[in-house]
Amino acid sequence: MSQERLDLGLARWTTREIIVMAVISVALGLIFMAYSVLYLALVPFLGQVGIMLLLGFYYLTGILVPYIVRRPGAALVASFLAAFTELLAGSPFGIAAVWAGLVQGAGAEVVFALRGWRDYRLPVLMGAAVLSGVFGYVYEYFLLSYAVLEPIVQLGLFLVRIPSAIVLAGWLGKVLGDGLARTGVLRGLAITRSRS
Amino acid sequence: MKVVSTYLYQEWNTPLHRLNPVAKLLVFSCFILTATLYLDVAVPLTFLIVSWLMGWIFAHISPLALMRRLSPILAAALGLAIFNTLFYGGPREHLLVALGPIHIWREGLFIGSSIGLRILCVASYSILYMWTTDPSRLVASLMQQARMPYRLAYAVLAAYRFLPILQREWGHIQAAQQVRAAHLSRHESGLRRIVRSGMPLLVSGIRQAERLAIAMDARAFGASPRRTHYIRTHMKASDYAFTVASLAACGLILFALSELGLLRSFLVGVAESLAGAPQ
Amino acid sequence: MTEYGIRVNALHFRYADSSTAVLNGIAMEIQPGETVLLLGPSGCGKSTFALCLNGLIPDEIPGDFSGEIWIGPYMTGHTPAVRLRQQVGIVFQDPETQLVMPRVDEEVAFGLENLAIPEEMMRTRVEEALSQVGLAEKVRAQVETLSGGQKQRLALASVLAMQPAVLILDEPTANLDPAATRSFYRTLQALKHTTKATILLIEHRVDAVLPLVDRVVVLGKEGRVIAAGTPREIYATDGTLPYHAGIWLPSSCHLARALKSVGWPLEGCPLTIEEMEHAIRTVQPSLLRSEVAPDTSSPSVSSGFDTAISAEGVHFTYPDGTVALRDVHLRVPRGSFFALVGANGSGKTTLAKILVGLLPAQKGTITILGQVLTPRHRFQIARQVGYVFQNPEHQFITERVRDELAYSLDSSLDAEEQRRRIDSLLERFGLREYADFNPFSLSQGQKRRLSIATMVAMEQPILILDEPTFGQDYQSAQEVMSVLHALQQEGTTIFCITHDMQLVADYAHEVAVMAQGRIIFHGTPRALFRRPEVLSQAGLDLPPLAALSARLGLNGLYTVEDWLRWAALHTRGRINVSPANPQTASG
Repeated sequence: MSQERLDLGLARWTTREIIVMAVISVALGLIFMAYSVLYLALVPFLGQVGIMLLLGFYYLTGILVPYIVRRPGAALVASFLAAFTELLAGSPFGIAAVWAGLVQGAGAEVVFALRGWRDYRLPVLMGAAVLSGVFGYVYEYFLLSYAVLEPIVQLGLFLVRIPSAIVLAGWLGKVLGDGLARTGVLRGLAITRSRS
Repeated sequence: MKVVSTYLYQEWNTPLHRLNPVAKLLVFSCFILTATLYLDVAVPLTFLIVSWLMGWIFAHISPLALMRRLSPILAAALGLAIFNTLFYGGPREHLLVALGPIHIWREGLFIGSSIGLRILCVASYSILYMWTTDPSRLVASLMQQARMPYRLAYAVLAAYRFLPILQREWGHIQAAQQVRAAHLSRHESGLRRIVRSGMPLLVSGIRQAERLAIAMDARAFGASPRRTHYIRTHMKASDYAFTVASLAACGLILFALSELGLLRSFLVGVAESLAGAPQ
Repeated sequence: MTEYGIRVNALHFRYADSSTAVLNGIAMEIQPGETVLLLGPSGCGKSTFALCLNGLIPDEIPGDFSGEIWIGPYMTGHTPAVRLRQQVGIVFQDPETQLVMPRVDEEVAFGLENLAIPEEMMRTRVEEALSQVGLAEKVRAQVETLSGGQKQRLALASVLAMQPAVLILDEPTANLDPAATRSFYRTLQALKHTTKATILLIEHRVDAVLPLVDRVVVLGKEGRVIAAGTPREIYATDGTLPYHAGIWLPSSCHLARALKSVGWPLEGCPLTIEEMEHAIRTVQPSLLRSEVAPDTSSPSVSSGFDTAISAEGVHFTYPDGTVALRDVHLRVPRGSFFALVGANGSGKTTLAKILVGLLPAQKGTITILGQVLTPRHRFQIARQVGYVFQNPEHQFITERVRDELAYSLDSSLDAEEQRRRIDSLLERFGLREYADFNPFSLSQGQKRRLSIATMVAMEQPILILDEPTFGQDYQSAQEVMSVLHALQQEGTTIFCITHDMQLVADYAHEVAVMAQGRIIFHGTPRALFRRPEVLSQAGLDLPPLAALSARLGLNGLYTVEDWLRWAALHTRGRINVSPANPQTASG
């Protein structure tokens, strides 16, 4: 029998928060898979560095879910779940994607933690997105051995993803979160409480 | 070989299926990790072949079927290999081709292929894993062997349940919106369609999530501090044996490769390039 | 298993984020072992009430809660959650979102795991529960492979395994087709012999459930009990209650009231078709000897020379191999009200998608208003066809009701004209006060009206609707149908995919029946009802009035109007005939 050691925070997550987190992660995971088709198709045109302009979108889960439920651990778990969904759906990026999800989620989680899991204003969201990108870069550095590339390319791979993260995860996360809140479907969750 | 459905898992009864999911996860992760530590072609290639053999011998999955499942990744792996070849910046001596600004070094080609193979290797083990692992057993095993909190485990199961539901729903939404857009002769690009249909998908998903949460709570989810388990996973002697044998095999392979002079460590390569020493 | 009754005193509840209370002083008492039917219009708080009974309100759902609820010896809010959730089991309406595990047996065991039932006992309990609902052989099946009806029975089994003293079913068949609904209530009927549980049933369409029910409680719009009693008392022919409460009447009752209003001396209220049959035989035995010719003043079939849609030899197979349509031939007359009926999976939706251009016909031809749909131009030609999806939310694109309508309007119109048209649409569809609301925040009925409005805004000559009255309460269903009727009268061709055979009887000029991808019947509703074997092949039922007509050996009495006409013809001189509007009759 497993005990609930990781209480994931100061107060117990409600079942609703857990399942909502799972569903948003799955929905985004699905959207990511469709997005990946576009992503891979553009690689020949933009190159491996240029494609980093689109990379930020993948960090969205770690921004949107915490923005909605505002709980410690949300970024980490949601990113993990989105990646795990892709694995389950047979995505060949598989286990490596799951690790990537964990690492990126951890990056966002650090920023939210630094603000005490209470501040979810746009700059914080963007900061979380940026740190997701940084952690993601470090992970890729090892997985794909970036060390053997031309230094200028290593730098490009890092820098180009930063604005992408800020816009496609930070800003887009807020836009989507606010849009969802306006539909009324998020009543009872932390995001709605903070707006009233 | 049977036809693969939405989910990769096939309910067969092979040695790989019977393995404890967490043990299998540990071993496969170990193989994958090893493959990523070495900057040469021999290691990922060998481990890739090992995955084929494992699938064939212990799960009756032909290497061809496995590779077919991997085909989407082949393009990405190739693209990555080419990229790394072209932009290689490490120690280099042997120039193969020079076309204006593009230089292709033998070392670059070697390392590029290695990275491409590495991706294939990771993918192969991932697919092999999902093919032979019952998600319920995996979650049960994570709870019982890896002590994962049960609330997190059920988040995973809920995700698994919702995947086909949301896939279908997304299809309906895209169709519904196509009907509206087409009628106004507004051409909507694929990207626009994804974005437009994302919102109803999220709204619908969240509504359904709420209903599931209520249904789960109504069946006393989380009401009692104790839980029992319908599915029990254990670490049997065969699981321990498999783990030990696999890790040993891992070491053995590395030893054999280094004896054959085929091994080149990533860490060594980095150290050399940092020190500016030529190969 | 012990028997527990339910006692409710002065129950008030307001959701945390709402300004109005949903439940305003509910009081009732349900005896142990009773089966009670809870009725009420949409939004009156029935589902909220169910959640109060198992303690989720106030334990998990925040809000303003006052009053007392006793389940046997346990009072909600003061009893450990484990005990209460185990004693009160709820089966909800949506088959998909009640099930969390991949496999059937795991799903049934889920509740048992939560209750910390010892593992040795789980297997037997799981198997027992599954056999109680007739799913024993599916014990190791993947939940994904079950049909909607089976999933709903699985949900029931998962609750039964916990051995509750009280069983609540909240609109369990709202999302099921007629065949699955029948099967579900058969299961419930059988269950009543083996379990002593107290059952609270929440349903809209009552025809199927009245035989199971001991008492009825009616909730009003304001969240208060407005009536309680046996079914006979509630539906008494001299009461106006049901119409005001916005709830569905059993068809036999509806008819009885109508006949009574023209002077028939019917006693009490027949709750089922059998009782109605008996009543008519008793009251007017002589009438039954006279054969009545089918009335031809029913909604007439149009001349048929003008065709809105025609299909010849259409085939369609999905990429995964499922053959959806086999050699389909169809002709829909212009300006008619056309119904397409059939069981789930018979190909109705696929056909509709082809008609609107979403899918190409792989073989055969489709003609829309004289133009042939070619694969390349199918979208352009199909622009003449509007499509209202089953789930209105799927079609929402903007954030305001007003903008949804604006999106559909011809963009070449000037701003003034646009505004005028939007306002008239809002007025017509009863959405004026909601013009600036977010479409997702509307009620079910409002969302459906909005989705119809967006199609009407495009002024298309043909409108396809997928299950327009599915799962709606009486009032919303009536509203939708009257809108469609008005549109048809104005010349729009209405193509309705539906399960609701009474809808077909009341409104359709022509009906086509699909089964296994083929059209097995095409003609008038009257002709169809004379062929019950066609209906059973398609998994459908005769609507109750038609069934009554058949039982009495009469011909062609499928709607209340038919019956009234027949009654007038045969009772002239013998009974004081005063045709009055049955809806306002007071007996």
